[in-house]
Amino acid sequence: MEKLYCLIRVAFQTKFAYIKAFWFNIFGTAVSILIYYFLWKYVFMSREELHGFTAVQMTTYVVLSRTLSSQFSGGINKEFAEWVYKGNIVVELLRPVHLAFNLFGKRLGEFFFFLLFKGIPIGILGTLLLGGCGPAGVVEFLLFFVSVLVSIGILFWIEVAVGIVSFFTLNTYGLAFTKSALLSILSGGVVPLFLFPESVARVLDYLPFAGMVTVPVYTYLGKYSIQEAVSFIGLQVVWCVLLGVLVMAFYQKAIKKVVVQGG
Amino acid sequence: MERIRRLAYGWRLWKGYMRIGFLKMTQYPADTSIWLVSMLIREASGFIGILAIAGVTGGIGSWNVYEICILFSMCAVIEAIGQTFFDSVWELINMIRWGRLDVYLTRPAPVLLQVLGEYMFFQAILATVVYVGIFLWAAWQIGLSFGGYEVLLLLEYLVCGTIINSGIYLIFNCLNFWLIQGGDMAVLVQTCREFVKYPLNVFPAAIQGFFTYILPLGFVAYYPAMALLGKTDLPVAGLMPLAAGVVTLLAALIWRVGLRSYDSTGT
Repeated sequence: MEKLYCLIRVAFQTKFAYIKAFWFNIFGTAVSILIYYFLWKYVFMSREELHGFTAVQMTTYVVLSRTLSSQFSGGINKEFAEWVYKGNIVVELLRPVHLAFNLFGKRLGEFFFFLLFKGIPIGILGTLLLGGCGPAGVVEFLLFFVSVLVSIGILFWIEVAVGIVSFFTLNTYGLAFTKSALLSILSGGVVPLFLFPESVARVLDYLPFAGMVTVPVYTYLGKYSIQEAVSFIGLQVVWCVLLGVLVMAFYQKAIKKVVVQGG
Repeated sequence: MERIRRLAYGWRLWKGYMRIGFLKMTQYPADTSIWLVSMLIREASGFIGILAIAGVTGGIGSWNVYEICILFSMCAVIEAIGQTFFDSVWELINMIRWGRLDVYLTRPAPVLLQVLGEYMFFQAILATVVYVGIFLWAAWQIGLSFGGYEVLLLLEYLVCGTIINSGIYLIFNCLNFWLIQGGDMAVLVQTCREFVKYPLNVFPAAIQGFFTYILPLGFVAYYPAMALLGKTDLPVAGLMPLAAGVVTLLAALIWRVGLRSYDSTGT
């Protein structure tokens, strides 16, 4: 536990040292929130509601979903790929803690940084400035946080999987872009999933990606009843475990292939 | 005569740079395919969003789904052309910081030509095939007829749009000549560029004005698309070269002044 705490702290402090890069990150998120805010505002000029969403709820959806999905562009897959690229992976493999544990600690540190410096400020500011609504209730609000926490597990395993692919290709930028764009689309980070054709949307609702944006935001807005929210969060946990098993199996296979560039 | 000789020399050099870029693309097919997929998916993430909204609501303002497709593909084509031939302007920060510009200054060819030739990214040209396909499909769906005017307008948009887009990137990357972290401004500009992929009339007047008068990125795709679709009475065909001319002048001026104030790293 103490080890985990140290890893989290180190990752947090590293992020803090590069706080300027973070301002650009925040600016990018703000621009994407504004674009979709204005688009939806335009849409709601000629209608009262869309699929049960009012304009105020849609604004809240935009603020929360864009903020949550802005996490996709970061993540430990970059660091993992760099280890492989530079050969540091050898040192990391020799450490007394498991590689996955080490990475998880770093990921949590990054997440807490995100929460403190981006998630909470942008969530509150965006809601106040653009006129969104608060959570549907106290229970919903708590479940929202639980859901966001669980989603970090899912995101972590996906990032590890993307990182492992860097054993096979050195084009890690392309992979990172693909990951963040795909996750944004599939999780409901770009637009709510109900806008997709119904059969597609129904499948996406139950995939692990929805757990990262759709489930927490729908819970927050009270689109799910308490029971529904709890069962969706349960599904998230199941996905998290399942992904963990799959990715670790992939890891065991891939690690035998490590080819570190000489030099 | 001397001028023509210089031009011919520059063109020969440019062809050489293109050859290197092309070979880079063909030598690493797996790498190229990953780039291609990642570029298309990245462009698609914005595209799918607005398409989904327009699909459910029957269009955004006066723009129907196909017209939005046209706007998006026109914007993406220009960005891809910029990525193919002019992406090295983003390397300017490293060239200045590490003093790599010294090498170019000692050679007889124009410095800007050498800077631009450093990296060509032909993978992006492959992506334009997809965007042009989307454009043609959408144009066919709304029954857009291509007469002499439309073809000329499209050619003008390709030239002027590229100049405006890449010229603005060049201007802001030139800030590196004076500032330690000058590249940051360019990144901010590129982030703002997201706005012009969407119909600008959706946004408040301040944002529309900003992308028309201050940072004329609206002329990259939004105004040409409007002219092509007959959505505006503005003389876009005349305004595009005007905007492109202003950007060219500014870029040339800032580049010259910047290069003059470049004093290497001193190592």
